[in-house]
Amino acid sequence: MSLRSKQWLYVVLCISFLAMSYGVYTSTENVNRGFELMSEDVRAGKHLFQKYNCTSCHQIFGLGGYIGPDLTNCMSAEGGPQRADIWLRNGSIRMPDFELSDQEVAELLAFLTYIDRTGTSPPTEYEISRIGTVDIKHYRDNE
Amino acid sequence: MNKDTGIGFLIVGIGALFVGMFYGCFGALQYVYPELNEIFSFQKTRPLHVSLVISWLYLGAIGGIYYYLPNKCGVPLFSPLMAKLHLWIFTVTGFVIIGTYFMGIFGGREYWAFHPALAIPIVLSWIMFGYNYFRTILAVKTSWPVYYWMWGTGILFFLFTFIESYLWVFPFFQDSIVRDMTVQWKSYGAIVGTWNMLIYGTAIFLMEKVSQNSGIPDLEEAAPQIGHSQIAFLLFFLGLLNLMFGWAHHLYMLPSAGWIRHMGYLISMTELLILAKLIWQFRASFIAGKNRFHIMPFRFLMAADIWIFINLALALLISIPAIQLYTHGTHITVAHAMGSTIGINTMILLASVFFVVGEKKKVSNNGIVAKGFWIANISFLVFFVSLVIAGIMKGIGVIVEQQSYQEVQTTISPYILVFAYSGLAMFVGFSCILIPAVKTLLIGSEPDLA
Repeated sequence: MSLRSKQWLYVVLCISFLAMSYGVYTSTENVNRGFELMSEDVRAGKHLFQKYNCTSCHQIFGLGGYIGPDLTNCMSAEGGPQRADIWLRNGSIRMPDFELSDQEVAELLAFLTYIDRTGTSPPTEYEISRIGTVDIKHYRDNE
Repeated sequence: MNKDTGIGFLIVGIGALFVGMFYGCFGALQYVYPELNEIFSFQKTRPLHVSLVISWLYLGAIGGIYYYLPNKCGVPLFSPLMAKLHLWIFTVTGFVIIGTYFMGIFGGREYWAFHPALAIPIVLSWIMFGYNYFRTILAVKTSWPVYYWMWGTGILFFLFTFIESYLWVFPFFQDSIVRDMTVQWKSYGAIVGTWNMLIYGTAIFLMEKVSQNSGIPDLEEAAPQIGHSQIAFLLFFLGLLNLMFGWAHHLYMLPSAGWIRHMGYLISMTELLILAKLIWQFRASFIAGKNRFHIMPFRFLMAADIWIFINLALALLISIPAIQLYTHGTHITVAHAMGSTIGINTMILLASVFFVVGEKKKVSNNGIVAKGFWIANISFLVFFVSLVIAGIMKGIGVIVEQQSYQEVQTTISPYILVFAYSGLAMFVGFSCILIPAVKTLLIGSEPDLA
């Protein structure tokens, strides 16, 4: 491969990468739903989630730490809101008691409810195609 | 005290690895003995472990580049002062980051859990590093070996993807969790590609240099071609393609756009070409490995070669969405991450460290370093297998049997116990390797290493 061919290939790949990045940033499939559900409480809850580094122990959509449970759908699970409230206020042997105020607890619960409404993890309804792709049903049609 | 900046990076990197491993072991024990969380919360342990071991990967690779360019490639650095400044900024920022973790101040993102303000000195010093690197190699008028391309690519793309990982500070990204997580994992996937570029470039450089002085006539004759061969450049472009477009396999389970997930699947499968090449060359590599096993850097490269084979096979399997459905969010993902960072990247960087150490002192084949090599690799194999088994059990438990979190934890607990204790053994093995190495790098005038 000549030097000129290498340079051309490099440039073409870089341009394709930038074009793809633009596509990823502006893609709206399932993204607008996240914007529509966002509120001040949810935004504050998201900041708290980061402030207390919750991702260190918990996953959202299967991404994050492993020592605690995946929180994506913890709010729609049976008794979810009550359980989440208790954990947030008291902690456990594995989870520190962060001594959260009532407002902070409410904001974190709002954030967890928000995530719950944006998708499903781990998947419960899915279809596997012949070529190995998976179509996951992330929320019910009436949602 | 050694004043070479490259060696300075290697020493700081080894320090980061040592402390990072300590917190890794402590974190693993926190899984088994939850009461340890009352002494020091896992919320702090994990970022300490992750940030420090990622620092090792970058510091080790950067140290090699700063050392090899002037000392082994005959290309003086454009600015040795900039290199020194780079080392100081990285080291001081690192200490500040560790301090903030202890104080419980977080940015709260995976990989970069530190406060976003601390990304600023990292970016500024990286720009300085890039400027210094490109000004240095632009002075080379002959054809560049592939490792110059790889190092340059790693530097360039780290800057882009590191900045990209902070786009979440803007509401356009932050206000929709799906977009936020998509961009976050796009950048993280590519960031892994950037350290791979820096480290794999170092591996090719080492193969060239180790072969040059192997004392085996055929190898010495072929050595100058390694960095300029057609196959090396084809693999470089394949790696670049995966860095740019292969990150989307992290996102199969996220409700991101369909085209993103399908692109990730397609690109990930191009790595089959690398696997095919490894299988094709396996016998030749094995024979060459036997001939050169007495050379310590080559011994680490040989270990990395075997781990590449194992880890690539696993990576290809879990990049198939139908399989990832069961493995996503399980310990198989951790096994894959550990396989890459310990089995491949750390082995290559240790080859680099011992290449530099070998310039100063002869390293014995049967001494403490060689024993450490075997302890680290055997315990890592146990560690890796226990994670894979725990992952399979969790995948079946969650997806097939729809077990609760507590039920899954109970099922996998014996494997987590093995994982934690093999991690401790691995720490002992790596300590046997690192302590003598750092002593030589620091002083450079000790008797030959036992």
